[in-house]
Amino acid sequence: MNIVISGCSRAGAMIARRLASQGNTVTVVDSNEENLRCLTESIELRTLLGDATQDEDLVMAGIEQAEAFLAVETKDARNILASQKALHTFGVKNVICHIADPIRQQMYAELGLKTVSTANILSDMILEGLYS
Amino acid sequence: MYVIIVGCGKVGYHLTRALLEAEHEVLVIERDSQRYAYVVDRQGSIAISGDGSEASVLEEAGASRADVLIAVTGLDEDNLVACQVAKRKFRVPRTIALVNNPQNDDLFRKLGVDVIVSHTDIILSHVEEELPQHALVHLLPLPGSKRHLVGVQIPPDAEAAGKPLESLELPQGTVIALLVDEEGEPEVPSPEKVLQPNSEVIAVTTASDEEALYNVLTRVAVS
Repeated sequence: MNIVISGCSRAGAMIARRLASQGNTVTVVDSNEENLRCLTESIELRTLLGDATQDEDLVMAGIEQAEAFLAVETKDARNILASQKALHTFGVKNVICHIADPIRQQMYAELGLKTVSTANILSDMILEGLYS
Repeated sequence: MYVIIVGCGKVGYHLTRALLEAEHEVLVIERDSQRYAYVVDRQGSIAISGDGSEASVLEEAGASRADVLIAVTGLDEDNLVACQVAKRKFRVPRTIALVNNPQNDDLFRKLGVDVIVSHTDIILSHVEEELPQHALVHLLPLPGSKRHLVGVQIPPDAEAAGKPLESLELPQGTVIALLVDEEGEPEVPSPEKVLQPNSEVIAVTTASDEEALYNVLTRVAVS
């Protein structure tokens, strides 16, 4: 599967490595060169210094051939713009967007984005740990 | 009217002043503490500090009773999300967004932002107007439509010069709205009207048909 990931955070890099090791072709886009250094490029794993909210950078990352797009930058609004672009402008079937703020996470889920909120997941896990 | 303005940079600040002068109720949301302090200092306590694309901040701003939300930050992503949250969560009837990157126009429209103001397009149309050898001047986008009003000057050696309008093969969906002669006098573009060299054609067209329209009007006659 061709996958484009926006944001080379710790989570982004981990997802990229795992997907590449499973035989997927992965491109990671980040506008900060420092962030991209933690990844070693290979045939399966490519890094691109760029801005995932810009059409031309998404095209350079191969969004037109991508079957999945994952937005895991640290800023919610940037993830939301990039994801809606992937979905509505480039017609990517599988778009997953990280939104930290639970209220917006729920709202965009209702608007058709697959959303993940670390605040929700973490609090669920901690509560589960507390009561188990 | 109750108007919420997200982003108090140069555009936001002057907008706030103009709307206050017109006696609207205005609330500004600004993330930067210095700019927030500036607007409160000059205009009184009409601002809250925070991220206007966050639902909790919009709630504090009383978004559910707002008539309009105007998002004019320098970041397109913040403008888009502020408008979407306002519309979706707080049912604000009208949202207006500043678009910094003209690429985002169509997407913002598709995603439900009511009015899009693209300052790059505005500056570009002014530049085009000033250029002596202009190609095709964008005069005005038509709200709620993908069409816009354009102006094209007829070169003296164009094939179209001296021909009646009805003989021109215009792209489908393109309509000539007005003729302006060399002296600047407007004329109704009836089908039998003959195109004069150096006159200007004002037409309604789409971005994809612009080039075809321009070709029909300016192509040089082969003798």
